[in-house]
Amino acid sequence: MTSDLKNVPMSQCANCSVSPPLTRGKLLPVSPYAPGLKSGVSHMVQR
Amino acid sequence: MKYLASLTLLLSLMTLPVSAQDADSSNLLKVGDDMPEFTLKTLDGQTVSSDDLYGKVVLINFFATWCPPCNQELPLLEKDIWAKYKEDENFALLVIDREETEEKVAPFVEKKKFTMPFYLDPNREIYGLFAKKDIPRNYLFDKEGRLMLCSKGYSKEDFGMLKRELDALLK
Repeated sequence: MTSDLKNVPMSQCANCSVSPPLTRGKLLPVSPYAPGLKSGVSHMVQR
Repeated sequence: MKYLASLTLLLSLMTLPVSAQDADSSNLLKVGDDMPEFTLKTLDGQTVSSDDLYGKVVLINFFATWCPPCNQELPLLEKDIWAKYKEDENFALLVIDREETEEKVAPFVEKKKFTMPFYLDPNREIYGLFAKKDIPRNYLFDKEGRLMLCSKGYSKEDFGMLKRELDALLK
């Protein structure tokens, strides 16, 4: 994954970040948009 | 005393994790909503519109080639979902690349040996009907075009739930 991240052009990544897999997942509430889902925000690109 | 209570409430709100305050406010659809109207182009220039999809269970995935979690999810989408249901005439899968062109996406698809149907959303117009930001995202609609499930980001648990919901809809 680290090597993949190096391939992200800086222009595209100016406003994005990859959430740390475990810590973010623990903080998240259940999404009201997807009943039952824990929300997969633990692993996404914010952009 | 009232001031103290207000201050305590304010401080407690400020210390909430950012993600907890944003339970997915960047999502523009909620379960039960109708599928937005759109027209998309495939990699080889064919078009598909949301009207064509009525009567089918539809899974829409938004991704980008540079997005690491998307690259974790796409092979599973191909192996666990597309391989299983590609022959089912009641199912449609739209894998939509956000903000990239055919020149970028076609070699990516070829290199990864994907056989899923890929579509292009180079100006974020279609994505903008579903969400404000963040990828990957999945939206699962029933045969009447109602949103049954959506998720953002990739996690094994959420992907498992997506598969189970899809299985149930196509039973």
